[in-house]
Amino acid sequence: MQKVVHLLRLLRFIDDSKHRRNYIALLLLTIVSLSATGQDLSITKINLQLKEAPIVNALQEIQQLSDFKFFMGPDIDKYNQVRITISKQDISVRDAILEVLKNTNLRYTQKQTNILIDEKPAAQSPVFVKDQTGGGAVAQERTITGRISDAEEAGIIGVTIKVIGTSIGTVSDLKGNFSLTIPNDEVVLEIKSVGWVTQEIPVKGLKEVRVTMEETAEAVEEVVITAFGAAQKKESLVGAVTTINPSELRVPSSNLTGAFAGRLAGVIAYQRSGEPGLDNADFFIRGITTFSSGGKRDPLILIDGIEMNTNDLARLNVDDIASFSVLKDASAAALYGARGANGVILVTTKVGRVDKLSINVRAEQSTSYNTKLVDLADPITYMRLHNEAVRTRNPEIELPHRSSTIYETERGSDPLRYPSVDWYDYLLKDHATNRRVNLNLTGGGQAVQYYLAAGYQNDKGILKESTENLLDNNINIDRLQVRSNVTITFAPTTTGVVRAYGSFDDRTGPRAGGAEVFNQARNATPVKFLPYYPADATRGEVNHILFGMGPELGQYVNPLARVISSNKESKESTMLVQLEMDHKFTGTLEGLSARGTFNVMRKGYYQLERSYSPFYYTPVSTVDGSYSLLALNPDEGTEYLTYGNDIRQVNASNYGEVRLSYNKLLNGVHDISGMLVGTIRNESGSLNYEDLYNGPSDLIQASLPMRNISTAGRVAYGYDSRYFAEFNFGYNGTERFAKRNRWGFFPTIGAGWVISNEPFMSNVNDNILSNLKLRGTYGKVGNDAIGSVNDRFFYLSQIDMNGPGYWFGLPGVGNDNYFRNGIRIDRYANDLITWEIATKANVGFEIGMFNNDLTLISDVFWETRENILQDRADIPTTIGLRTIPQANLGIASGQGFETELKYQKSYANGFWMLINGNFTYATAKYKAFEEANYSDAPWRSRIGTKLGQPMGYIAERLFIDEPEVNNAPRQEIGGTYMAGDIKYKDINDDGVINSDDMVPIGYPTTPEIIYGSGFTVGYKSFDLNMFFQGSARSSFFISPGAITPFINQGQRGLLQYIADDHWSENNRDIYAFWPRLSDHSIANNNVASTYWLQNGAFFRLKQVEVGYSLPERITNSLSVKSLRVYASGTNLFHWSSFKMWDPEMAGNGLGYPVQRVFNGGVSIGF
Amino acid sequence: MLATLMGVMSCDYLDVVPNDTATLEHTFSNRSVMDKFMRTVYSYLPDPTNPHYYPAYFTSRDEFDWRTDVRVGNLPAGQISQGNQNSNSPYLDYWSGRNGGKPMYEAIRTCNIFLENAHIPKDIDETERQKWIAEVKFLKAYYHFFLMQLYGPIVVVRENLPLSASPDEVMTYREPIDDVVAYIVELLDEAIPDLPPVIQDPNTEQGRISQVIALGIKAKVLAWAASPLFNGNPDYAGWVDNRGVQLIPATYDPTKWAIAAEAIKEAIDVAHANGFQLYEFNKFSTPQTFAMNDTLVTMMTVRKAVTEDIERNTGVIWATQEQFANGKGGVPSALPQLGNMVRSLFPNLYVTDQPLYFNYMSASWHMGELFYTDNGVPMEEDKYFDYDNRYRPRRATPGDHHESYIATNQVTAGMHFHREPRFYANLVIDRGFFELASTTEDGGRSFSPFVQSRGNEIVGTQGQASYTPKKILAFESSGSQGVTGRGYTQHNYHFPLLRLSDLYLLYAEALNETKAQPDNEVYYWVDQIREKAGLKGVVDSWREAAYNPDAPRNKNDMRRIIQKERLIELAFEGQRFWDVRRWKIAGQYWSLSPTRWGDIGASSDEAFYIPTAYAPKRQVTFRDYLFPISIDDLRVNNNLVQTYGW
Repeated sequence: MQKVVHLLRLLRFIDDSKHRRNYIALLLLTIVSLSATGQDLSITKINLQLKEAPIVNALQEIQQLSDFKFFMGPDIDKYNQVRITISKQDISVRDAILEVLKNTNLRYTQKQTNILIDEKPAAQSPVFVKDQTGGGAVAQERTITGRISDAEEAGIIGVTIKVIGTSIGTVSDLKGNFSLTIPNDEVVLEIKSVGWVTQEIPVKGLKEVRVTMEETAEAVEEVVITAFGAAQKKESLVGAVTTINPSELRVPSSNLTGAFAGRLAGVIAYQRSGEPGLDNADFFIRGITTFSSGGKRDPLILIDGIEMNTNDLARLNVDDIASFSVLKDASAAALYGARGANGVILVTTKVGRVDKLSINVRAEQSTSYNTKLVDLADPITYMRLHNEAVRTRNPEIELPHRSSTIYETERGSDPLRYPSVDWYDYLLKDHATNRRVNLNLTGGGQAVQYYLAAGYQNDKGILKESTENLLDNNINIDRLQVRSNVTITFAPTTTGVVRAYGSFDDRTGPRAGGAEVFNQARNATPVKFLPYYPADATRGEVNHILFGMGPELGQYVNPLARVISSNKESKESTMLVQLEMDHKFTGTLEGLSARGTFNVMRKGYYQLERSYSPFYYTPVSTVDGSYSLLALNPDEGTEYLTYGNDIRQVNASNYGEVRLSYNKLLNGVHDISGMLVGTIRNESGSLNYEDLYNGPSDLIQASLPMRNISTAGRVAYGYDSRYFAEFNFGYNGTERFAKRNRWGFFPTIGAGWVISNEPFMSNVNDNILSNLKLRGTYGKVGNDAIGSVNDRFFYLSQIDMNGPGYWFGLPGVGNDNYFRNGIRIDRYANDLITWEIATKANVGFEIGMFNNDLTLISDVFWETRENILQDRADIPTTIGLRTIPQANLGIASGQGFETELKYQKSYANGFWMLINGNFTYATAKYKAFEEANYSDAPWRSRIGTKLGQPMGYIAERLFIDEPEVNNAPRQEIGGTYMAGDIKYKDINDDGVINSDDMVPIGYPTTPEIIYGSGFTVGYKSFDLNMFFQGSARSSFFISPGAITPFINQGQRGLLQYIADDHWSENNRDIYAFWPRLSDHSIANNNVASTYWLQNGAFFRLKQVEVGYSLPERITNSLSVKSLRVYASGTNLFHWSSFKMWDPEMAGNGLGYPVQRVFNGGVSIGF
Repeated sequence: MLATLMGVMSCDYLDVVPNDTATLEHTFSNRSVMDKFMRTVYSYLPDPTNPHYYPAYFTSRDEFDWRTDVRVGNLPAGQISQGNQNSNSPYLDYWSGRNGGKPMYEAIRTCNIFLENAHIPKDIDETERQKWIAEVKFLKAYYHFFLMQLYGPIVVVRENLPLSASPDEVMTYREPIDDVVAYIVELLDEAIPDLPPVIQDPNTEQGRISQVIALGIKAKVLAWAASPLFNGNPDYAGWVDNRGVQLIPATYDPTKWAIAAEAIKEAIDVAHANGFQLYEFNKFSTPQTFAMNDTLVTMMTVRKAVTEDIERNTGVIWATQEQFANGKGGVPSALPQLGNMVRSLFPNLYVTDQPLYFNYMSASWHMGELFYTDNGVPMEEDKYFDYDNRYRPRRATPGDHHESYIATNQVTAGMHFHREPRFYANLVIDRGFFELASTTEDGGRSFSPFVQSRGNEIVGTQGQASYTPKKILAFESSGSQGVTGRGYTQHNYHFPLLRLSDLYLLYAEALNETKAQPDNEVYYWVDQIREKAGLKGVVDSWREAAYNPDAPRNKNDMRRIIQKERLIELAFEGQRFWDVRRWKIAGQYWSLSPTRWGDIGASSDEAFYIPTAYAPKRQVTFRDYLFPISIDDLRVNNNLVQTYGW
């Protein structure tokens, strides 16, 4: 009570104080001082009121009040009749225990907060038991000793060891040791403890029994980590939360997000690029239900309660994750109020436990290959079709390649004059090698427990390194993460956790990024020049690479020179320190606990580029193998490096949280709990991750901190483990809106009904139906991150005081003085802008069958997202606004369902299996959208169409001939078009194809369905895992502008697909893949239309892993605790109707391909 | 408890925006920021050095032309020249600022913001404040005028509508052309008294607006109003909006010409009073030109009327501050040179030149036929000119006395002989000279290497375009020589927006329309121009050389003579696009086939000197005279009516 008074006084002090900034520090100080009380049994004081209580209940009561945990030996049953009556204030726990055990032969032993109650060892006297096997011989009793340990060889306290068929038994002590007197050698011991798989061990002949216990799967899932890290019993959960065993997320990659697709029910995820460092998957909880451009759509990510970004999540090491939860519905995310509308991903990292040091090491090496690289046509085909492309569009123009040139190139007799270059060959390797090592140490004593981990990853790109070059131009990323989670037990009721984490990325790579290398390889002419020339007689002495170029500098791009003449180096670090204090109140406030968290995080980034200016040469004559090179830029090339584009950025954030929670079970049936959380957050520096790469913004508004304050609470009531009801709210403030719109209140309600716990279900055998639960929630959550991050302050106008200007005067020395920048209005103030609000409903059921071997969880959800920020559509151009104002006008509605099924079983013969699968369907459509008046063209209206669904023309086919072109409706899409170009459908029949003929086409670009399924089977030391994943109901466009061959002065390479299948005058295939060739962009063909629309559905064998754990006798001889070797493969096969590139890359298919990875690893425990 | 705590703290904690963040009030807090705001207003001036996005150059192929193997045809202006203008997503959409157009209505709103707030700053001299207000009023008028030239009847924004305006208020109408003209003239009349007669100190103020400029633009506005496109144009008789208001009058009103004539005369008088006079080249201005003969001096007078340094050019009333530069017009990065109009027009001077950067664009072949003969009359009207054999190759002999024009003993087309000085000053012809202040090959041979521009004479290209518009390429520029020397030095000059010659010819035009029969007053203004070009007066020239010697005495013939004089005098100056539309005669020019001399790689003179159409004709109808508005704009404002015909 004193403590509470103290706290109240403190808070009042803060209220009064003008020095509010200091309050977190003060609060922390106070919490530290609070927790300094109560070190051991004799110090922790409780108020004990017992009347005629059985011993076990008495001890449980002490446990409730004190935070000590009691383990009972089997002998305690002997004292069932003893009744205890005590009424004492401020009694120490020690005295309370002694009081309870007063009239028994029981004793207690303490190890930290664990207290073992068992019978005092009696003086051993031999007892003769009749030999039950017959034969008259009398078997003598003997004592058997043993040790019970977990998989990591830590002793387990309090395990019951019982001789089957008798009442003989004992419990394991603090170190897991036990000793038991058995009547004879034929007995079987039953080893049993909650949370562990029960085992039966025949004693026969054994002097010592060593038992390694396996955790039951249920034990892990019994508790679910929910908002603000609160552990909630799964049974009482009414919200929709997906949890996953972190080890399921283990993939041979340095990027955790790549594992999400198909593994998390309710998460729509896909990976568009395989470039190391830029291969984050996109993931959305229950799809995307907003269309605010630039706003936040992806979930809030919290790691140990701290808001982090996708990259931080991607860097997490699976081995360090203790729990991984996805909060999907309003109720689960409600406490995050204004930030939870897009769902929340909640990750906690492991902490230490009382045990001797245990070390785990994992090392992996993998090789990655492009899943599919888009093929390029050979140079001869390139030249022939280039001629065709020019001739077919304009017969007047001279052909770019003479037939003699084609002939000579084909002969290959003179590659200097008639080069033929496969740029892929010069720029790309066929595989890359990556390495990863993780190490963690865990253990601890009574006062301090630790979990220390370090991870190192080295990822290389698939770009070819040039040995002659000044620079290493391949992508190379070295990453190091160090984590230290130290738990300090100040008292049984008071613990603190100090978390420190550092992540350090060192990256080098090509200046424009890996994807650009692939682009450049495709964008260069294969026949004009060699990538570089061997030194000729006159240039033998030069100290640089003789890069090739056409006769004119600047006319062509030499991708090799571009790529290898520069590189970018960047270093990025994240460091955080986090302090947590947890105190459980006792006495009259029993059931109440308080927790404070404080976090400081710094992110730093710097980048620089080094480059040299390549020397270009063009061959001018070739006589009998000797040739001469003409230097094109002898004065501009450099043989030394220069550096530039130097970016340094820092981002700082602080977070504080105070939480009060209360749990109480009244009369054994009324389960009451409540929680109240206050948080405060400040982030300044570069405001989002993109900005780190895009360079600094000079807007003052971008420099201002992002701030949030929230108060959130939960009240829950459960009756008899059957009925549950919950109310949650978040009351949140943000800096983004005008004063009157800054605070938002987001309430939710939920209820659950565990039918299987009803009395009328008691006759249903657990072996058939073990669990049946219905639950539902309804409520509101918000999103304050609307619009682009530089548009945070909608209520203010944004004025660029250095906008486009004008100069007066005459040109000449010093006349820049007469130039002045202008003033530009970039945003008009609108103080009405406010939150996006999601109203979500969720109904779910859970079924467990066959002792919960089979579990099925299904949820159906609905969402209405209101106040979506969108551009005003009713403002005519003639008003003259520079930017279109935005307003909270849009409404979208989403719905869908998700289900996950899991079946696990192990058999006595050592075979075990786990099969699981999940399926997510989420769709959303526009309900309200301000747009122009489309009453005469209703198909152009967005309302009722799906979010993310493209608008485009309906392509009928290609034009057959010129008469058809002339007689068809005029296509006012842009540019000239002719036979062999795309013919569009005239939707409104007005004889003109224009934007009024655009309609929604295809599926949304974000998949509506993501599913996955896999199995793991094990037999003794072997295990095998296979995982399949699929995606359906999505569309994407092939971007014709990005693959049009021969454009840019005849440079762009020719894709084999186009070479093989295009309209030509000789072969007028009106359904050819590619329209009539051209050496320039044909605007008519480049617009979004069904011609380029592709189905993004695919199904793939995502992962296969085979593992072998060395048997104990071998590990023992190696003095390691465990050793597992494994091999795995990722992205091995896929099935899709789309063949050009990996369908998961969708519209990004020309970028850095998704990788197929083969991996070998070893995991060792000491 | 916590809620209270957070509630109390929130007031300050979430207020992260400091008080001194830039807001609209800051933009008029003092003279300095007001000055900046005025620069913003100026910055919307359409940029005539931006060739693909300014409508006067490559939207048709009768004055300038672009080579088909160059992709500038895919840029907005080139698209229009191929007949691809459309109402779906119009090219050069100056209405909304899309597809290469500058947002003129945004410019007008910016003017209005300035005018609404100009009274605020305290630290500005009242005279200066009034001068600045007058400048902005001029610009507001000019932005309206620019739109009017492209769209005809436009929405007039007298005052800004507030953001909170109701949908009914914002759905404004296009106003009848006469109302638009009246409003523009009203604005100019308001501005003129507060403007200085001329720019006082060009060193610091060149580019600002003066009375002479405002009067000149007023003259042009009124000339537009009187011209056939907007004055009784029967094509637009059916153009009414949803209220039934007719936007362009169907009946001709001759008094509009009288009003225009009066305004033009006032502009000319004030210009004269302030020292403006037709430009004349002084060969003693630089050492390089001392040796020039009279022929060259006349040619220099023609060229330098445009390219002379602005502070020495007495004939330019208003010039842009923008400069021709690489990459203008958002041209694809691979060849930013394409955006530099003067560079792209520059000819290949030597056989060994690398063609890449130069001569991507050209003077249209048809411009070769435009200029007069040396008798000062059109080729087809000159009874002494061998019109029928004008395409036949002919060798230049000393007897031709063309040593200043054509390299002796070289063969070129017949029509390249016996033309007026402006022909040679405007165009670089095959085997003609391109006079530059400095050329270096062959040990500094004089500034006139003759140009060899046939297809097989240019390394690695597909034939030089037909002609080069020498007139707008400054004498002080220099081009490349040979394989290794790829230098190109640009000589910047202030590209004229309004020359005194323009006003003279406009005045002649207006007078001719107001009189029953042309008289000496009409001839006077035309003959002033001809005199500077080394030609006799209209009456004398026709009488001496033309098949129809009395043409200048006939009002209709005189109209054609004035129009032709104007097309010649203002050739390549970004005026033709406006004039041929104003006169309603664009169709005959825009539908000409893109043409060049001869076959690629022609080996003989005969094979080369054949006019060859090399790209399809453009179909031109009356609707092409005015630009369409995007159908998206019509959807937002249901009261807007589409440009007639689109």
